[in-house]
Amino acid sequence: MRLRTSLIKESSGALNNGSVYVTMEPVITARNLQKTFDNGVKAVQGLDIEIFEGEVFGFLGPNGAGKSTSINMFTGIMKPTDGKLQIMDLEIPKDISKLPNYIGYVPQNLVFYDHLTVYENLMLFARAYKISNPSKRVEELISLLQLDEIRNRQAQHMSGGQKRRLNLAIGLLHSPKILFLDEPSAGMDPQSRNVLWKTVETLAQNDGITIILTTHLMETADRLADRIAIIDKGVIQIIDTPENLKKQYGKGDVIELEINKELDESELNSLGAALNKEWPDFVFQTNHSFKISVGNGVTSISKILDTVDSTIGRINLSQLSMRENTLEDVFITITGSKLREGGKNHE
Amino acid sequence: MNRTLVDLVLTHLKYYKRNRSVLMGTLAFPLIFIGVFGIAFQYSDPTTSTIQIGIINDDNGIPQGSVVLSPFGEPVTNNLSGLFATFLEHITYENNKTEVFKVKEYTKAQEQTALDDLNSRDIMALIHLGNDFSLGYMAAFRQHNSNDQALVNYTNSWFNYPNPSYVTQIEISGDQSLQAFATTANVVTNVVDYFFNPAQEGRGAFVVANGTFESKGLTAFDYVLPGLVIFAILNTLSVVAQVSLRDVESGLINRLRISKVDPSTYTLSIIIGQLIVSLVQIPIMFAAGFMFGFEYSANIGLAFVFAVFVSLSMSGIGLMIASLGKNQEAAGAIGSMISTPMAFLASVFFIVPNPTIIAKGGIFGSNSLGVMDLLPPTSAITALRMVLLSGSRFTDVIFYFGLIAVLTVLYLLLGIAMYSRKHLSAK
Repeated sequence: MRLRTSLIKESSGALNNGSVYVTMEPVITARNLQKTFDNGVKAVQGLDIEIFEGEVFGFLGPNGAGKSTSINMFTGIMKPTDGKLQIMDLEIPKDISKLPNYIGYVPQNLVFYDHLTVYENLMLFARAYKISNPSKRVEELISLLQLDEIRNRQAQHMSGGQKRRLNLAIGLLHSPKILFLDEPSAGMDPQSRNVLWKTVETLAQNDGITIILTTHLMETADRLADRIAIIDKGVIQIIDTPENLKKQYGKGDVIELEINKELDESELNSLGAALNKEWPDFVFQTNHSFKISVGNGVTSISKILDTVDSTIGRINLSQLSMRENTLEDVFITITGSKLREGGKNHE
Repeated sequence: MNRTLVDLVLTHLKYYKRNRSVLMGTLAFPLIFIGVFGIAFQYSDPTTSTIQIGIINDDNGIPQGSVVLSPFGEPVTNNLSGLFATFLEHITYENNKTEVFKVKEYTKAQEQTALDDLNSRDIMALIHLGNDFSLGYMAAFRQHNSNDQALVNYTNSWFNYPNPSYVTQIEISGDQSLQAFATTANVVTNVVDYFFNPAQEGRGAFVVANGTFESKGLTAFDYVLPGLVIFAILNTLSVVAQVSLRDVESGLINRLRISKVDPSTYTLSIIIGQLIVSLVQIPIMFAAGFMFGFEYSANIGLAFVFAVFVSLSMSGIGLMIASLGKNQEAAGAIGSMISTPMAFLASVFFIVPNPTIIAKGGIFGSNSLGVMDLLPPTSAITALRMVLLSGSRFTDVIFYFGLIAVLTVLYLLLGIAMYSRKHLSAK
């Protein structure tokens, strides 16, 4: 577990058998949370989750999995169709009007006024939040997110990374207890992404802010998240720490194999059935390549090749690679689909 | 006014200041129209053709035994209405001495015939002189001459004269979108002012010896300018539709809501911001009009009021479009598809038929309600032509004021309700 010590509350202590117990207060509790759109699409189907104070919680899922719909319900943008949702001491949707006091929201899209400068945008939202001494808080965030040089530049004339930082700064203006980051590092250059990561880590570790982020970038989730929920088809598939997920589902190494001919449907079916017996987590990437997560790559390669030979005859390999398991491999194993770059559109 | 509202209004205004294409569409495009019309008609003569009008003379005349002096100083013992009609017939255009009116007189019993002639445009305006026309004249005469002892003796101490505050109503009916009607209303209003109050207007300013009264006539540019001012404001519709849907599409609405901005504050900021834009547009349009030869500035403040109503009602329709449109491009296109035909139907450039829904009478008084009157710009353009070109006062256009006020409230409330329901509440 990478849960930080800040999560350990006063009620922590030692059990009689010597093991340590930790009691944490959830800041978000969802029970059987559901969202069905007017067109009948069930975006979220029975979400059960508890997110704790000071935690960085990652929501992973393919496009359309229900990540953003979940976030939209947590932020009060959407009302749940059914289920129970409690945020801090608020019952949602009953207390939805009080929600802005606790939450900050950084949407995936760059949401601010393009024709306003960095300073004007921040001051506009700071006054909207009714922050006392808004200009002081704006200066703090300009400094924190390294926006000083472009403070008087209209947002429409800024780079993608600079816009991302402004997008984040607006969400932090009122020092929220819970911060929602929807695909925060999408489209960021490495420099801006680094600033973002450091900012998120600082906020979580120093300020004790609970951060809930959705991302399709495994690198971001692996680096930032204490726990990860993988959601697909509106249902949470699994929740655990990145390390545990990799241990549990990663099985060590990943072998990727590409053969020099395209397989027809019957060959794909028979090869799939044969591989599935031994390695249930294998995934066809194309009709002439597949990927298998294995415990030990070196000892597994010959067995995999034997299985292929015995199923579809002797083949020529065009590529064979072996590497350590990543969070993305875990994700693909669990959801059976490859994450894609791009928009989330009404997840 | 709360600070967030002020900030959002300023943000809306900065959108204009920093976005050249929007600024062009708002100011340059209508100014080009004014320039084109102004140059095209700058050297043209005003309309100087004779206008066929009708007069229903229902005047009971002067009470028996009384005597009054006409505006030309002659004693009159029968009635003043005949003199008034004759006076109208002798008015000429100042530039070519063509007679302004050819008058066809009707009795009260011939009223239906007169209305039929008006509907078939055999006459372009119908002037109804009430049965107290002469009494009204006598009251005005008494008011202006009460201190003239010689006249007091002459008129037998105002015996048989009505109270000085007595007012007779002169009704001018016709198609108010017609240039000929506007000319008639303009001239008749001035003639009535002179006829009933020659001392105030100054007799010397008019050629009274031969009974003529000169009119400048209206150019096509004079006639079309009030419409062009309203035309410029119609752009509000597309801008509001686009901006308010842009903010939905970009996620700004959601972000503002999460930032403690009350949805009504946001909507109000768009409406107020756009109203300020219109308040800047209107004087610019008029200034351009004056530059290109428009000379009528009577009751321009009242014209402003009507223009403001148009801006507000267009904001309402813009919000309705934003609640129905798929995206801001579609909203802009729908806005143009509505505002452009609306401009034509409201007779910005030329006259369109306005079939009657509710005939005159009852609470409408002497006004009838036409299909096109349901479009706010129609009332505004009619009223603007009346107040600017004919010098009509608030009481003359109170029907249009009431109509546009009701329509504005209706469109605005409907727009706000539809937009709020669609975009400003948690789904």
